[in-house]
Amino acid sequence: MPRRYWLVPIMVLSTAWSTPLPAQAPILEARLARALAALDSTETERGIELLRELVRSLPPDAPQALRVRAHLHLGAASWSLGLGDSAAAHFSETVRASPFAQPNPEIFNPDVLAAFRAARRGTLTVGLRVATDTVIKPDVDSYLVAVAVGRPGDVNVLLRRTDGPAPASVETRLRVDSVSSFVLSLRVSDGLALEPGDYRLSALLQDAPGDSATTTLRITRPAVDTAAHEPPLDSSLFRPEMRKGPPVPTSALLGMAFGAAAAAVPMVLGNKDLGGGKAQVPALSVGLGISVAGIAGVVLGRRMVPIHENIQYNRSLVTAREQRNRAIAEANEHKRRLAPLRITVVEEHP
Amino acid sequence: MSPGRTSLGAALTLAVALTALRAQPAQAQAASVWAAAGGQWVRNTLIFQGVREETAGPWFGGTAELTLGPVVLGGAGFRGTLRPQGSAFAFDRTAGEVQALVRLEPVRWLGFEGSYTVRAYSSPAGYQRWDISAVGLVLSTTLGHPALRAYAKGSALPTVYMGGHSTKVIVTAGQTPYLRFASEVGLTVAPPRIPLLFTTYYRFERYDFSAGPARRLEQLDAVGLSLGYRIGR
Repeated sequence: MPRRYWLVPIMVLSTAWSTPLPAQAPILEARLARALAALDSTETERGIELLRELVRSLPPDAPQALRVRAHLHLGAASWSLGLGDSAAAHFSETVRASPFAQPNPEIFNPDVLAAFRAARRGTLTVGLRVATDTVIKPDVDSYLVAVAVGRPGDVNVLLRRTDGPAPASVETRLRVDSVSSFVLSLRVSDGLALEPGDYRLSALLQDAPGDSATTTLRITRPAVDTAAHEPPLDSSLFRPEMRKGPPVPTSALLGMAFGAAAAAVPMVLGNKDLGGGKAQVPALSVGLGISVAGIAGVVLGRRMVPIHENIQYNRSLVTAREQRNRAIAEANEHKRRLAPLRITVVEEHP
Repeated sequence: MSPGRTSLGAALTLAVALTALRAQPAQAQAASVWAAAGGQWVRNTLIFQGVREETAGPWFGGTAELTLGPVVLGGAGFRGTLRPQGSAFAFDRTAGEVQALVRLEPVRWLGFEGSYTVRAYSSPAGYQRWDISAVGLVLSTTLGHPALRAYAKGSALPTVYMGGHSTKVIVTAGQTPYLRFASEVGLTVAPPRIPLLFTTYYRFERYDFSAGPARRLEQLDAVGLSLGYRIGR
């Protein structure tokens, strides 16, 4: 399984800087720039004053990055004036604003970095970062997750489905000192990939379960190019399954018997004084009709006889097609299982 | 008319009907109705007091049957004329008959039938009525194809009563033949996929009245054709 840890910094930075700014963000950015300019021109007190005014006036929906920079520079400036407690408090606010926040060692001196680390270790918070929009193959890739904490400790990371009937979930626990990234398998216990749907990714501190970071994810599966099933077999491929059986001579015999009976009725049953004993045309005509019908029945009554070889052949055609279609269906299902999943961040709750 | 004999005939017919109804299985059976219109050429041959009369003519009418499983209930009615056939003593007659029947078919090839027929003749010479009850056996078979079916029926006539009056002499006492039976042989054609039923048949009845100077021998035979429409299975 490929490890893509090198993606973490890019992912983190891209996520941090791609946060949309509220309407007053340019003003806040300008105020921050003025304060930093004062600090750069060694007007430390003025810079601190401007930064304090800025952090006091930051609205709750102020950009996270701006809040982080303001507290970080205010903490560093406070530390340079020997205001250790104030510096620790602002460093702590920096970590709370973003557990992923790290002072740039090229900008801040090692003492500030050490003070920041000390403040960080005293802050109970957790943060979670994932790629905002990524596509992974569940059978090859894993989902890269970055977790950051203030105070080192154990973190439970839980991915739980929030819609649909099947509450599939993936859970892992890891020890985090400051920032750690790991790969989260997108397979449930039976080895199948997670089904598309809405999920909640949560990171919970073992020491403080109430302190958590949550990200709502939407997993979708792009259309898979599956093979079409075979069309129904053309009727010309099938062989006839029935044929006409042999003639039925008994019908002729029966017809002649009933016909003879009709003709014989007046001859046998009739009174001789009234013309009995002679053939009567009406009786003969009906008897002849019945006899002819009986003879016609010899041909008309031929029953249909099944042709077992052809039936077997036709069944084999159908069975072979069904087998091919089953194979296609299995291949399609396999493709679907291996199909890449697109994971997008819907909402983040630090 | 003899009320006692008529009642006996009706009772016999009713007995066959009740037997048929009791024999019907409890489960639902296939039901069908068919009605047919047709005609028959009827010939009546009579020797009465040594004089031979022969009349013949067409009768037209219809039949209907209701089949409920193995039980068939039916009726028929015909009306026509009979004209002398080379006989100087015979009269033109108008004739008509109505019949009610019930038949039990426990198996496809065998049926037991009971019927009651009233037949009447009218002519310038008078009026004559026949009351005939019949109990018979019907054998039938397909002729190779299910559409073709032949049947033969033989009936005993437990009660036959003939009575009437003439324009000159009122006859009140009816007569009953001592030898009496009826027979019918026919063919039905029921084409598949169309609900029609063609029937052709030959029927024959013989009545020998008491011997003596007033001896009366009578036969009636007919050849018929009908076309029917069938509803149901």
